Amino acid sequence: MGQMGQESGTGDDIAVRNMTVTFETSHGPVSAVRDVNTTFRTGEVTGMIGESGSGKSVLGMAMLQLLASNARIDGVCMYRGRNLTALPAKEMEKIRGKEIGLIPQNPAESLNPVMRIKKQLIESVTVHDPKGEKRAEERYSDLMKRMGFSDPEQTGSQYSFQLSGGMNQRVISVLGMMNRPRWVIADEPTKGLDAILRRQVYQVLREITEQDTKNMILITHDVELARKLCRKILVLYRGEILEQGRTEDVLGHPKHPYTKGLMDSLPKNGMKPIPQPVKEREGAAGGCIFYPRCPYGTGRCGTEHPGEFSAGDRWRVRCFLYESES
Amino acid sequence: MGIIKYIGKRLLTLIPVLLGISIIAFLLGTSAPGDPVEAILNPDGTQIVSPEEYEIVKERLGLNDPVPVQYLKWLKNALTGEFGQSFFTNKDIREQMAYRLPYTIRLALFGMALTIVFGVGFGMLMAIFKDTWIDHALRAVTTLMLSVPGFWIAIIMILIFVEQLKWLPTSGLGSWKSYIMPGITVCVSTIGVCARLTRTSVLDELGRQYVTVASAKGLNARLVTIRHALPNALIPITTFLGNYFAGVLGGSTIAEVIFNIPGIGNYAISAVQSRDYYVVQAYVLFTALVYVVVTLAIDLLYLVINPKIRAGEQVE
Repeated sequence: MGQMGQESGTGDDIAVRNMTVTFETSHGPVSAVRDVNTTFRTGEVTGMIGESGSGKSVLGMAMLQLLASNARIDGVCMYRGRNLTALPAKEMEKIRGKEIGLIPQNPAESLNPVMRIKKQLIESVTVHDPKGEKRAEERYSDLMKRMGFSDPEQTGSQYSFQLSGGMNQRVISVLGMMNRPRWVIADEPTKGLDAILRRQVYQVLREITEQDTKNMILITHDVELARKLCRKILVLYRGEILEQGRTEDVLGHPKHPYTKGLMDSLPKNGMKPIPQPVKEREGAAGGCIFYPRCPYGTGRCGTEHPGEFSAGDRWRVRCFLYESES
Repeated sequence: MGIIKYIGKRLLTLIPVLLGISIIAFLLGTSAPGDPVEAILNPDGTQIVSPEEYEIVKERLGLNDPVPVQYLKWLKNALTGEFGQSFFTNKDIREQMAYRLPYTIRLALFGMALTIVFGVGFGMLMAIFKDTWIDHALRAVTTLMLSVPGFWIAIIMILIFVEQLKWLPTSGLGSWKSYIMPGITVCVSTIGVCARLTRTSVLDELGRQYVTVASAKGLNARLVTIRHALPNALIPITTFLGNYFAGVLGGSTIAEVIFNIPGIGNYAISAVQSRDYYVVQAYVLFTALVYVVVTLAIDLLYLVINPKIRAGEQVE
């Protein structure tokens, strides 16, 4: 399954193969990410979109090995000839922040409440290069100014609870970029923000892709943000990638019934809701994950798990409707 | 600005607390059984006291005044540190307190030092090595520590280190060695509680988002714990340690009695035994004052460790 159209990882690409993330809970194991196959290509922004609980943030955190201790990661994540999911802690520490930076979600909670802002940002550089204080200072003041802080020293001497939500969002954007990482993962950067701040975040991310690194993974539920920033889109639903391809294909002419439903549910398309799960279809193991809610579902969808079928160049859809095309 | 307001507020709340305690301490003296006039004129119960003599002494002691007036006079004296003389020994209470206080302070500081080193230390180790054998072993040790009474530890230590090994002196305070066993006695169960509190609050902080972000910057687990989680976890630990310190400063009676240390706690116990109410009054007032001062010191310490208070934010 999924052999066709498989992009092989080259250079600085991040190639994820058969990745499954399972959390051991008191109610038994719960899979948050199932059998994900994709390649994040250098030089472009890849967007991961989906509802809350679709596993998009878990996938991002799994690539950095930043999940809670009850998480088990299966599969591989190849980056520069190394499998990140099997890297020892010491090696992984050298990747984090230096090779792959993170712009975390929930800005206010992402900053240490008893440490001054500047100290937390400078630390991103000095932890990798203890003698890099001077370089860190320069980078700090440059980035802060670019993010619209006219007086970086004054802002840096404050604590996160003294800044507004929008300011904290810009601070953590600086945090992710401090050590000039090759890659950056932006996790839900517009979550809970109003229209003005969403536009500000868009400009910040755009600026990063123009001036710092083009290699970005954008995790968001904000379809419009993804459309504006991303070259490629992954659509996740309950831990599986249901559709992936170029932004203009996936968001412009969606093929998977879920992606279609997602697009129809946008305000500008009339906010038509995705159908509620059909009771009789629920609980069927082994079938398509979207089957209970799918308007096109057939008997086969309830028993057989669809693979990823090619729907064009760099375009794959996990739905039997596109089986014939491949 | 916020800081001055904060300190002012703390100081203001202390006034009613101190007044309340002083009333309780005073009433303890006046409502207690026994007659102070009788005790002065007829300490051994063999003399015959004439009514005239009785009245003169009663007048001199101010016992004919209404109770509120007596209280105010007593409070005025107490504020200048004048607590009068012990019924029993006729020694000046203020001098006695001044003589005994250094012993109690030294013992309290030693107990406090042990608690910080081992309580916070064990707790950190348990949090860093969560669910490994180190955590399990220390959890067993700390449970044992917080469940055995101090006097039992004291007796066991005397049996081992004094009777058998002859390493340490039993009583008195000749050298630093004589502080070891009393010091352990006053802090053994506190170390247990403190270690568990430290473990819980550090683990609590380690589960927060800012810790994940610190790891995402490339910090290793040790740095994340020490540099980020610990300073946040210290806030509840400080409160706990402050309360403990105030407690031992008020005299660690059991340790002082077992090891025959002439501290404040020992003084209070002998006063209670001989119904020496002026001493008890002074003791109650003293411990209350210590408590209030330490609490104030902790509140000021919060200004250092919790920037939210410094900035005048509302803290839950």
